[in-house]
Amino acid sequence: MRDNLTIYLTMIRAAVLTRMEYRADFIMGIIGVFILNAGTLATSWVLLSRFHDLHGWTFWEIVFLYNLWLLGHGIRAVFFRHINLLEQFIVEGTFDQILTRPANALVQFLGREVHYLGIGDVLLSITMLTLAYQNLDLHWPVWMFGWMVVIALSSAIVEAAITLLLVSTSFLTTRSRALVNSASLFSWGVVQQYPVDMFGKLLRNIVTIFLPFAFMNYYPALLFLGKQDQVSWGILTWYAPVVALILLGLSIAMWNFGIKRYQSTGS
Amino acid sequence: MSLFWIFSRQNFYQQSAYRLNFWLEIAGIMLQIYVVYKLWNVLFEQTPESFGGITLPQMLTYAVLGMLLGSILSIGEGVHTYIQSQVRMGQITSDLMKPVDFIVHMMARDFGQIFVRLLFFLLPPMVLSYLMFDMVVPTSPAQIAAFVVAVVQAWVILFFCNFMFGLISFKTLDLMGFSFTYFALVRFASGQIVPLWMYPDVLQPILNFLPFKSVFYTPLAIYNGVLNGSAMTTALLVQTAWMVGLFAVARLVWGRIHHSLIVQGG
Amino acid sequence: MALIEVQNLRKEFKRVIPKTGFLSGVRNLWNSNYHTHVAVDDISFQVEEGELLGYIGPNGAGKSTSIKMLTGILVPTAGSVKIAGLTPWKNRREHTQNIGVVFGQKTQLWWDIPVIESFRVLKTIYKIPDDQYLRNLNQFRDLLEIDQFENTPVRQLSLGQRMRADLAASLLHDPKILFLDEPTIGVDVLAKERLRTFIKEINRTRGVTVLLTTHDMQDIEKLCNRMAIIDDGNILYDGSIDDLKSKFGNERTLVIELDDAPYRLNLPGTRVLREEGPRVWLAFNRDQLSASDIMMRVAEHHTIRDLTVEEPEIESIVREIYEGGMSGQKKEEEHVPVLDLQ
Repeated sequence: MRDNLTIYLTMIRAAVLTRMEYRADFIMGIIGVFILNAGTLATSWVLLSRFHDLHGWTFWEIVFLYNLWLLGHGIRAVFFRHINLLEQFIVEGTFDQILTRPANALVQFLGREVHYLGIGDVLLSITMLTLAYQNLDLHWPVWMFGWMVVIALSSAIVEAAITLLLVSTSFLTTRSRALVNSASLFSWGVVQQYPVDMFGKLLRNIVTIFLPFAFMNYYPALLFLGKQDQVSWGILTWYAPVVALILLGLSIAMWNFGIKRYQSTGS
Repeated sequence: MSLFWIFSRQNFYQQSAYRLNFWLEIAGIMLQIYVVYKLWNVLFEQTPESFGGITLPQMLTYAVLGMLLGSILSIGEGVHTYIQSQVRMGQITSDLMKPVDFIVHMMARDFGQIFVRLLFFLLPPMVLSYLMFDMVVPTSPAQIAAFVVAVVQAWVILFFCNFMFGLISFKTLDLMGFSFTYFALVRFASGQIVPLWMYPDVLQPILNFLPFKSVFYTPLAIYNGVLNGSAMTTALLVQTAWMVGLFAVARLVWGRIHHSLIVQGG
Repeated sequence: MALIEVQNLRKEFKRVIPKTGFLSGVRNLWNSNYHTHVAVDDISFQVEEGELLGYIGPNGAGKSTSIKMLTGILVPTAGSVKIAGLTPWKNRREHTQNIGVVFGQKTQLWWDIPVIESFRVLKTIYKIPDDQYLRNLNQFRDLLEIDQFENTPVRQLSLGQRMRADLAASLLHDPKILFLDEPTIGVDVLAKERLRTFIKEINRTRGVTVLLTTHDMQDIEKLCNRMAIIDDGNILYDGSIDDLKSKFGNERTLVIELDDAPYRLNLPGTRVLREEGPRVWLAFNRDQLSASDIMMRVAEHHTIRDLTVEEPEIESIVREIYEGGMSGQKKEEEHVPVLDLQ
């Protein structure tokens, strides 16, 4: 465990040095991320300035929901964005190199890259969450701010783990991109900006059980916004970290299974 | 004209080669349709008076078709991404050396892609949507004809916008910031997700000033019957004006860039 | 016990047979046809400590698949491998401490950061003690002159420099065995010479066993004391280069320049390979005929102006082995004296 951490941190240092070589992209990327998210929020604003609320969620509550998602997504984007690129790692032979070294393959894969775009997501989401907190006139007890940190990390893990789980099919088919893209639609196309309670049971079950992206923002937000008593599934607001850990276990198992299959059937 | 056919055929084979991708993409489109369907249903139940006299089926037709048109006239990928990647790989010269006008060549390429996407990703989900949801159908032949004209003109307008956006890559390769801005602007100002009449009055002059209104709002509002009579004719003429204007500007800008490329020796 | 022991190694892949057409393609989603491709059929060999073994074969012969099994990347379908007492794919992590791997096609180093930073990462991954790391680094600075470019990002290095950096990186943890996959590919002549000198040097001074694959026969001739030729997943030859020459290289070519214009020489026991102006290339088997016999018979009718005997190039011998298998049979087609195995 300690060895893995040392190796991971050393690799992250190299990855940061790599990014520093392309410093010019940094500012433009951050600005771009701001504008992109502002565009989506602007659409929500147009909608809610006309309709007052969406299934009982006001504009600033939607802003909170959206940015809670963005915070977890941003953290995962800084450290684990390249999980999506596993297919490319395999095809280009980078993955074979990982197997010729004595460290854990997953640690070597995860430590391979960092990305700065996620920093824009994190900065923007913290700003917007603060604004939402003020506009909604929330008064959290101190422990809830600590819980917020736990939720941010577990959101990042939920997204990273689901992606890792799906992308590990690259070891079997080397064509996993379409699968990952379709699945992530449940994340940025559904839970990101819509309160899950407005959808039917089927879709709610999918984003709760099969691709549990709703634990990135919807369920945790119920507690933060004092809505956990308004829905029958309010208890689930506490379970995001548990879901994150289960997904983490499943994705690591899938990863290991994938490598085994790759070693015995790959070319 | 044959060039348009060649690119269409090529795209057809490419598209049918990856079957898993096809099914997954159809599933993804259906999911997005379901999401907008649910969104407008919820809003309509809450405050039907905020819709300004539009019926729910009309609104659903607008939203579903907006989603579909959005996935066909995709902003994320198109002539601009093609020009970008060719410039980045240093292969744009091979496009310039072809014995066809560059703009015509790019149009044919774009047409091929969109035509095939229309067959694969617009028609099947549209049929499914009509089977599942209560949506309106354009009734008069004039309305249908106007819609077809509006879609074609919308494609040409978006093509020239994308084309000129792509030309930026001759000046700088670092397009990420620009891309995000462009993407966000088109999505917000085109009325693809929320119909433009719902936007606050302060924004209306800005929306009217941009060509993107003609890309999604005009064909969609003609299809669901919101735009009719003289308003429809005006909207179509505005589209035509944008089309001609953008074509002229695109020619001019491209002529300059092409000239400077030749002077520099590619 | 030998350092590397490979016995009856076999590797099969299943490949989907793609179907064309839209409807049959849809069916493909739930039922697919496979065919089995045998990449490595049945390979056995042993390598003693300190040997420098060249592993050659045409593209698709099974070279890289066997290397991948020896380095622990792939698990074979059948057979066994013991390297320094370990089975690579079972004890992958211990095994990787014993080996160094260089793929000529793709660097092991981090592309955008200075070489020395990549070395630091490897030091952590392989848990190399400080004193060992410094000792090796200093040695490589001397031998490979990596100090000239150790602070430069890999993407800015020439191919030769990059290979030197890669070689140094693969040796930082003092491996017992070095696997080099096409280490000289694309490198210019001078840089090649330098890489070869270095490989020989570390083999001699550190006793590192080297297994290298290459397309360049000069690598083999200058470096290796032993070579294995593989094709269609089987080893066709395994032995020294001199043996190979004496066993299979019994064909000689006589180049004669005549006084008179082109003339079709028809001598029993010889084959005309080529005619060019007054010059004729004649192939003969030196066990059956001698050069002086042919010379005398030609001289009966012509005036010989000049004449040389060419020994077969190792490349053409190897090519004949690919073509005819171990029987050494020659096909009655045009003979191209120099060949590019690529």
